[in-house]
Amino acid sequence: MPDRLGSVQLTDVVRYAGASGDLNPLHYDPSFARAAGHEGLFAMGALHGGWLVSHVVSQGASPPEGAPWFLRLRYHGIVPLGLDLEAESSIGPDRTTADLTGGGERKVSLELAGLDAPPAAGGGRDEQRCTFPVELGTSKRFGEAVRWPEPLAPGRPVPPTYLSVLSFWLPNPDPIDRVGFDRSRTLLGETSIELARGPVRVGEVFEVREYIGAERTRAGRAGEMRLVDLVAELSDATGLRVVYRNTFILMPARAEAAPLNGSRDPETGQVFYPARALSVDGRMRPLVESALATEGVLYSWTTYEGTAYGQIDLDDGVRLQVRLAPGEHQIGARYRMAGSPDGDRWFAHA
Amino acid sequence: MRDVMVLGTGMVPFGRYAPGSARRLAAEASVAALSDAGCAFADLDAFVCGSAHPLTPRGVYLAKELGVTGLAVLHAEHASASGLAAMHLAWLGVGSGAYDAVLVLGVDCPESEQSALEIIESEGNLPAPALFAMWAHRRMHDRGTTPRHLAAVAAKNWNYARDNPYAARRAAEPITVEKVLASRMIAPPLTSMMCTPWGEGAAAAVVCSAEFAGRYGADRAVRMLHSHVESETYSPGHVFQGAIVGPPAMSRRAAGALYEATGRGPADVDVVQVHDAFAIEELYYYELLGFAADGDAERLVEKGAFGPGSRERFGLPEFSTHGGLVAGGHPGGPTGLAQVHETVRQLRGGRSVGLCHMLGAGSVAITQMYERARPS
Repeated sequence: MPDRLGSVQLTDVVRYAGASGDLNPLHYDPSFARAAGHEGLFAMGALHGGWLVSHVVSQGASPPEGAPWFLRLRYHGIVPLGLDLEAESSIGPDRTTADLTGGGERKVSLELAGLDAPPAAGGGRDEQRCTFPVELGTSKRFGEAVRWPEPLAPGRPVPPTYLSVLSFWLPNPDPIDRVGFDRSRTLLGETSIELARGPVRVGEVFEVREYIGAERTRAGRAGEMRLVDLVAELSDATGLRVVYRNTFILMPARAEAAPLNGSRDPETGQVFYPARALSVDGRMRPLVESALATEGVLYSWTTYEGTAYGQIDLDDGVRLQVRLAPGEHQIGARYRMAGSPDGDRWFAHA
Repeated sequence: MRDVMVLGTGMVPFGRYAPGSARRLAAEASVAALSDAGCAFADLDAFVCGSAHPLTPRGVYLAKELGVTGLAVLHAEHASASGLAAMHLAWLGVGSGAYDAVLVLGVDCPESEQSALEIIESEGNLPAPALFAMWAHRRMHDRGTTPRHLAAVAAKNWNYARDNPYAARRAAEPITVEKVLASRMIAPPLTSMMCTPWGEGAAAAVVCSAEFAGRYGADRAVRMLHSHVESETYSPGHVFQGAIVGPPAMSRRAAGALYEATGRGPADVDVVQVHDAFAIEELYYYELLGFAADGDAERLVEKGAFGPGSRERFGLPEFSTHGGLVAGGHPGGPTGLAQVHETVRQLRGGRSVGLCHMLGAGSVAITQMYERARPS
């Protein structure tokens, strides 16, 4: 029987954003989310991913104390705010797996198991370093945000995904800025934490080396996705203790806004916008629906109250009055329609 | 058509009036026009109201303020051209013999605060200043027009307005081209002093037959020679989407029809009032109404044509002698009636022929010609 975990509310998002330092507006700014092509707000994966970890821990899953182990969270789909979530877990002495589902779809899968060998150091570009003290207050706040079931006190284990607060200590704390992806199209694909032994505990202090791993691509339903790892290696006096790896996915560029619909006169071939039912010559010929050209030549332009406007002579003969991308423009230059899936359209230099 | 006369006109100053002032403004302008004509509301057999703003009280309510006499009450709405559209209905009514004397009222003052610009944009149009700025920008690209040319036209109209007690913008000092250029940028190349301040107001005229005029004082009457309403004709590149500017050819055709119907040509015209809500417009209308060859307007402006003394110096009419829409103001419905008021003033002052021109929503152009009545 799956266990019900409830749904993520905006309050949870705000609490997790503050506790983790993940301030991507995609998760709390409705207009930003809409402009990025999402119908509404959705949770950061590490939020309900953290809930799932807490859930299996509350059900008795525990990592081995003296041997290497790993925790992996794979994110399969976004979790809109308000969606009821359920967890189904299988907890064993050597290996725990769990799935978080919502609306009949798997959203996150979890695996916690032993490792054959301790984690090894790697390398990449744009390395940055910091000292990372595992603070009580910060970990308590994070624990609340991910519903951590255990008390937090000096010497007690912190939630495994607590390492996302590394952003509070790193010189450049913004992972998406680090990997150089477009914020509106970037999702967290996978989090893996490999540990040499036992959990990370309140009061420990680590030296951290963080770097960006090699980029790779993968074919997705909507086109090619780019994947890149952000890796943090945490060491103490005993050597390398933890390798914390987040895989970010840059989704394919959103589809172009749909072309505008006008009308075409089947007899003359003339195209009109906005769409109209009858011919312009008064002979009352019915017109047929016709998608407008999406490119043309700028006839004129100006700016008014901070917005640029233009008249574009489209390739099908329609002179369109439309918003332009911000900046300077050039009469006679070629322009192309740009837009977002919510129907907002503008024209930009082709 | 029998002869149609304008016997009297009157108006209130254009400017900012509080919501709820429409009844008072309408009554003041109407009474002024009726006293100028020397007749009373009871002598009329029709009333035509022109207003553009949807929140201005209905014409029939305003008519009731003046008397409850059973006369015909009509309403004309044609955006900026509402006033001249109301004059057109009166001209048809009197010319056809249906009516003998008609009070034409142009009034706009909304009952609650909502600007004309908001209404234009709520209809899905781009902001009007942006559309006219694009017209200007394209002319600069094609003809080498400079902001100074636009500023010269605006400064001329600002200076005319200094002598018009009804103008919305009356500058204390003469306005220079530099001052117009230095005013706030609205939509490049248009600065605030090149754009109408809109506003509220009322203006009225008594339109009547020659017989009626003869009974009340034919010496004050001017002849309304012709009125023409031209809507758009399709040509490639036609803008359907929130026209506002409209095809330039529409104004050209509207003027041509007027000249053809009256037998008068551009050379006969002494004064012209146009829809100069934005300074670029008047520059274009010099050409479109037949007073300059295409592309010649800038050169004529540089020489000082279309301003004071233009008729004497260049054989060209003076334009926007009451300050135009740029300085006189542009409440909507009253704007055309203020043009008629100014035309009557000019003709009574000795000019022979006056022309009025207004655009409505860039979709209609109305032109009218008035002539000083010769004693018969």
